[in-house]
Formats: sequence, structure tokens, C-alpha cells
Amino acid sequence: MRDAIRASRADYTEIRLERSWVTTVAQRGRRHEGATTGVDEGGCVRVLHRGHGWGLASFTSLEQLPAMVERARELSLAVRLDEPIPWVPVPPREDDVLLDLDGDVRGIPLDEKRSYVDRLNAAMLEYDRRIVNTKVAYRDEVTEYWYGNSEGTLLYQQRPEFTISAHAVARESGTEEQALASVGGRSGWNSARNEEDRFRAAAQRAIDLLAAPRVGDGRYPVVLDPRFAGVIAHEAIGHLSEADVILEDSQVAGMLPLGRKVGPDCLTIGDDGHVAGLRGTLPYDDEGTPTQRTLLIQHGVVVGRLHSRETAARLAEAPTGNARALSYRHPPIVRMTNTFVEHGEGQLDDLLSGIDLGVYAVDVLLGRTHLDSFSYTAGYGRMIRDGQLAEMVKGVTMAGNLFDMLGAIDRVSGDFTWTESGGGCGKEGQSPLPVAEGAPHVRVSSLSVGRPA
Amino acid sequence: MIDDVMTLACRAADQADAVVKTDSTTSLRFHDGVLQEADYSEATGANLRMVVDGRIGGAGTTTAEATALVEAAIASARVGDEQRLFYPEPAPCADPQVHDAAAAEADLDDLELGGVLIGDQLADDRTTVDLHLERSVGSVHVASTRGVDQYYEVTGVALDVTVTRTHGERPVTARAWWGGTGLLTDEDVASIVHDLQQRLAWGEAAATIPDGPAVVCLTPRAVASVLVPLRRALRGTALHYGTSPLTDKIGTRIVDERITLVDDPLLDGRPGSRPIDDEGVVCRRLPLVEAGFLRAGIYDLETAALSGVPATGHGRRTTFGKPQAAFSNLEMLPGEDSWDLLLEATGDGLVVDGFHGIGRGLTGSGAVRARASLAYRVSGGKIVGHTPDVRLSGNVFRSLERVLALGNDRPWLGSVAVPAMVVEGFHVVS
Repeated sequence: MRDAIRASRADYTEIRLERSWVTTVAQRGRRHEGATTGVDEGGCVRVLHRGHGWGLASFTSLEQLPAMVERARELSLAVRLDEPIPWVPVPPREDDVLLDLDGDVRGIPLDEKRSYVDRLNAAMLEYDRRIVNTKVAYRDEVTEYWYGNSEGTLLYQQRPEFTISAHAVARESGTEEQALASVGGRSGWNSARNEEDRFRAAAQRAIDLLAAPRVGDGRYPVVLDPRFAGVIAHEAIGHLSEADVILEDSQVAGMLPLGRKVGPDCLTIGDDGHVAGLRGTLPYDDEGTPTQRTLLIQHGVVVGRLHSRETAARLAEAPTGNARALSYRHPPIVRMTNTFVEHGEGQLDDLLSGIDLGVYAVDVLLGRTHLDSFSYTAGYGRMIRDGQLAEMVKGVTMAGNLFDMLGAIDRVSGDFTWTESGGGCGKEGQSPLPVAEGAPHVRVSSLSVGRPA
Repeated sequence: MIDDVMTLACRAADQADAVVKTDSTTSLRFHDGVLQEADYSEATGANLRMVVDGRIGGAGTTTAEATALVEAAIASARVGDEQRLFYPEPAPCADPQVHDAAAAEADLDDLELGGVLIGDQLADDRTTVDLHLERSVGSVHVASTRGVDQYYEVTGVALDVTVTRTHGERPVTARAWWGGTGLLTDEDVASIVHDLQQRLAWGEAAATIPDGPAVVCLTPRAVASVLVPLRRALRGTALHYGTSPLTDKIGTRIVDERITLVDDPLLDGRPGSRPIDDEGVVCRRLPLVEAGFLRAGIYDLETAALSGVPATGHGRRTTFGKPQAAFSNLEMLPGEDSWDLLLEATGDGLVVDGFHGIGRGLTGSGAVRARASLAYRVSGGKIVGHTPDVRLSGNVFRSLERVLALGNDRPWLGSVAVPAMVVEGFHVVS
């Protein structure tokens, strides 16, 4: 890598090389769908010539590295820009970061992984006669990663990851309901094991939903559980805070200008790529910038944005270590890491107190945001009656205007939970990128709740 | 590499099949006709499936390590379930045109030309044009222990254009995409530009959004979106496991009698075309829905074996994971109605040109709630203006049963060709 960087004739050159060992195991109902392994090896060269654009070349054959450096140079020179691409310098560093493999998944026999997935599946399928279908998808990975650039940075990382996602389908008297469960981590076999209770709980939830009534359509005070609140922070605030989108889309740019008051004083939201052990945690981003804690909204006021080195230069701000690439096949773009809502005071009971009739929204089944509009369906809900959690309800879909919702937040609890699900973040074809969300319980004084049309 | 892999696999396997794919893709992004980004990728990937002692396993790699790949597939098979696969024998293949020499040999200047031309013709003081052009050159080599050994070369060119014209504070954004195996011709460029200009012109005036139930004219782009739940429902896996609402409905009427849907991998010059699938099954034209009646789903080898039906030649493999059934070129046969007749049938309603978000989440039942990416108000059978921020809810399967008119024009949108149609059953929601 050093030689290739040295030989490059571009003004700036960076190279990423990766080798990943991947295992997947899938089970659907009583059928084993396969346990496969793979080795994914490749690299990416990105170069910049002053007055020209980025040239990027990715490849799977490492012998091609010198040719790819030249190819990236040609592509950079083909782009002729009136204004040069700005670029915030980051002090060069050399570092080897070997994250704890936590029971290296490469040393675990495939039959042991399959047996474990069988047990997780059985925990749901054999839980109750009303569970009629299940699906479990297990994936683990260890990646060796090398990064170098012409400014002198040379990094080596070894990082593990696992995800387990499942759903249970319950059926009785013509009614069918499903519950999802997933878990993931930037860790290995030791953390992936012993998740049977989580999946048993999903089966129980699917059964409970069979008899649960639909929530009545209307406006209610709503308490969001940490998982729901974290997803909203990621989808609604996080994506609108990504500086590349802000620079490219004038509609997004107008949503969260610095200094805008969008929520109450108790609302603080940020992104932190440096929290130990979370799915979105990495010591450096894919431009060699150290990750950090970045506040986006502080006491209800927009105070920050997520940056790559280029977007930071364009907006005259500092890089935040958020330039991430899904793999060597992709360029780094501005992405979240671990997005959080900072905790406030009190516990869930304090947020429920004073609500005569409301809804407690738990987990997220599906949803979407577009600019300032959102629509999310909770995994399930509980009615709040006289300040207490009451019966389970389903069909808890909340839709409306993001800023109306933020403005209606009136309490944030003192508890806090990181959620590491088995999914990931998607943007510009790079999905699923490992991320985590963390939040306390959040109370919204009034939200439109009802069934999806 | 595939010869080494198959030689090693034959020694340990009852049966085996492999695919090795190569791909070199050049990707260019333009803004207002000026090149902004240029990327290149080249990749080789091998995917191997082995049946060892009756058990199935698989593995993939981007490396050239054939021995490691075979060992990984054997390890996978050792923990796999028993499943009998009916590997196809070698058979004569059709020879659709899937490779274009001019596209393969085009240099950067050749590729830039289309992007510059389209941008120059559309961009002005209040109109921005973002264009993404990709050219890929590759090969597919499929082999099996039954004797299949097929190699073919492919090219692909894909174009995605987004045009935004601002009327004061109101942006109108129209999108067009195009795909083929060859380079864009002057006629292609003229057609794309004309189509986009037409849709921008319809958006010059603003109009109010109707409330409640609405008759909706779906343009081909919107029809392609609403077909997503139907496409999922036609996959063999969904049909087999009962997650498709069409399970057990072969031979019954599922949509309006004017709808005929065909998957055709043998068309010349289309991006989804191929002579043989990635599992060695010879490709053929497959009617999926005929005059509203469900005729078939699409199956890979394993799902076909599970379901007790023949594989349909739709096995698609990436480097990692198992083969999956995937559509090739999906065509809906055109109807008889001109564009004017479609608007007349719409009466007082909406023209919807596309959706954000259909296909995300749980769409098995066909229920959708989505925001239109571009919509116009129709009044008295005429387009009267652009309606921003239209949200619609409904059920795709129910609306496809309530077709009021079907267009006689059927443009190709990459690997999908569908006509416009007027349907009932959608509601405008706040």
C-alpha cells in the first residue's frame, strides 16, 4: 500500500484494503435454509487532482492495485471543476486498532452456529401451538482493514460484527400477527450466544397481539420507548444533519439550520462513534479521521452537523469522523455512527404520571421519513390510563410533521438504553451500514395515532 | 477459475454447480451537463453450491482461492439439510443479444456524450439536471456436474436523470431512467428529453389536491412502482411458504382481464436478458398473468424442488449467499387507450408519476401508503396543474382489479415495460 501511494501522481491519494470472513445461517420454520461462508477481499483507491474531481476505482484483485491507482487518476482528471474541491486537513497518524474479537467467530465450527440458530428458532416455533411460522437469520463477520493516504496516515483495524434477526408469526381463528426481534454488536461469539429469551419474548408478543385490540384513531399524549425514540432520532434528525445531503438538497438545507429552535430545552440529540463496543463504533472513519461525539441538537437548538473532510471544508466547520463506506466497493459518504437522545430526569413512571388517556409506543415495526414528514408503526403499544400502563394495543401508527412532533416533546426520562438491532442504515445504495441508536423514554404531548391505511 | 473449482468439487460432491461472474463498471455523475464524479469498479466473484451425501451447502469468494472455496462449500454441506435438486442437463440455448461491442469499447469521451447532451438540453436558469450514467462490461460462466458449461459476455448501459424546475418556492421534480445493452442513440436522447420536458411543462401551474377516494392515472413509472408487491407475490419462495397472497391461486383470476404480464429473458438488447440462468437452466419466455389469470411464479432450482414444480430459469446468484429467483425483463402488454383517453377516464382525479417508498416495509398484503414523487391534478379530463405533497393509500391488488383504462404505449424503463393505467381504489390521505 505504501508503495502504491508513493507511486501515485495525484495530489491526494487514499487506499482502503479489506478482507472479510463472513458466515450466514438461516432457518425458516422447520426448514434449515443453509449455512454458508465466504471470503470477501478487495480494495478501493480514491484520488484527487487540484482543479479536478474525485477519481475512484474499486477492485477485487489486489494485484491490480497499481493499475487501479492509475485508473483513479485518469478518472479524476476527466472531471474538470470551476472551483477546486476543498478539503480539511487531518493530522497524519499511524495506528493499529485490534478490537476485541470477543470469541473469534472464525474459530467456531459451522455446526455449532447452525445448532445455535436451531435453538433460537425452536425458542419461537415450539413456544406455543399458535406460532405457525418463524424465520431466523444469523450473520457474523471479522474484517481486517487497512487504510493509508498520501498525507502519511496508515491505519490497520481488525473488527468483528454479528447480527441476528428473527420474526415469529402467530395465527388463531383467522387472525395473524407477527413480532420481530433482532440483536447485533461489534463483538463476537461470546456476545451472540444466549439470546434465546429475546426470541421467546418475540413469540409471546406475537401471541399477545392476536387478542390485542386496535388502538382507536385520534390524538393522544404518547410516550415513546427508547427503541422508538432512538429510531426517530436516527431517521428524522440524523439524516437531516448529514452535511452532504444538506449541501446537495436545498429542501434539506432549510430543515435544520444552525441556531434553529426545534424542540424543548430537555431535548439534546447527537452522534457518537466513539462509544465502546457499539455497532456503529469505530476508532476512525474511512477518511482516517478519528470518530467523536457530535451534538446535533442541544437544549432544543440545532448546534451541529455530521461531516466528511470535504463537507466540513465547504461549510467551514470541523470534520466529525462520519465519512463511512459500507465496504471497499463504495466511496465514503457522510453517515451516522451511534445516534442518541440524551437522557433527562425521572423514570418512565414519571412520564406516565398525569396522562389520563394516552399511548405507550414500543419498538418500531416499519416506517419512513421524507423531509419533515414521518410515518412510523410501533411493534406494539400499551394504552396509558390514569397514569398507568394498561392493555396492549396494535396498529399504533404515528404520522405527521417532524417539527410539530419535536415541538410537542415535553419530557425526557433519566433512563437510557442503547439499541443494537440486526438491521442497519441505508443511504445511496450503501446498506446495511452498522449503526446503533440510544435514547431514554420520550413523552410527546399530542400525536396523531391510528391504523395504517 | 471455474474449471479449477469444478474439478475439485467433482471429487467430493454428489452434484455441484458454480457461477463465476466478472464485471467492470464505469459510473459517471453529471450536474447540468458537467461531469462531477467518475468511478470505476472491477470485480470477480465465484459462487459454488455442492451436494455432499445428499446435503446442500454453498460458499462464495472474491479471491482466486479455489481450494478454500471448495472446502468451505463442503463444510457448509456437512451441516446442510438433505434436499434433492434436479440439476438440468445441457440443452440448446437461445442467443439473445446481451453484448454490444460499441458499448464495451466506448471510452470516457463516448460515455460522457449522452450525459452532456441531455444536461445541455434541459438545464436553464430555473432547471437543474442531475444525471447518472453507468456502463458495465462483464461475463458469466455457469458450470455444473451434469455437464452444463456456458460462458457469455454481457454489457449494460443505464441512465437515471432527475430534473428539478423551480416555480417560486415550488419545485417540480421529474425523473427518467433508461437501460439497455448498447449506448444511447440520438433517438433515445431525444425521447428522454421530450418526455422530461413534457412533465415539467405540466407542472408550470399549481393545483389543489382532491380529498378522499380518487381515480388515479398511473404513468408507466408509477405502474412499475405499484407492481413491486405483485412482483414479490410472484416469487416462488413467497408462493411456497404462503407469504404471498397469491399462494394456491394458480389458474384463478387475480387482476383485471386486460392485464397480461410476461417475464421474457430472451429479448435482444434488454438489461435483464440472458440465454441461461445462473443455475444452468435454459431461459424461456414465461407468462405470469394472462388476461387477469395467474399462470406461474418464478422459481430457482431449490424452491422449485421444494414446491414440486419445474425451475423456470430465474435463478440469480451473487458472490455470496444462495441462488434466489429474480425477474429478467418484466413486460405488461399494452392496452388500447391513448393518453387522451386515459385522461378522459381519469375525469376529476390525479395523474401520479411515481412514488416514494413503495416496496419498503411489509407489503405482502398489497397495502400501501406512499407519497407521490410527482403528481398532477386532472379536471374534466385535462391536466390542470402540479399537486405537491400528495399521499395516497390503497391496496395494489384491489386497484389492479379495478382498471378503468390501459394505455397503448409501453416504454421500457430499464428491464420493465408497462403501460400507463387508470385505476380506482386509491385514497388521498393527509
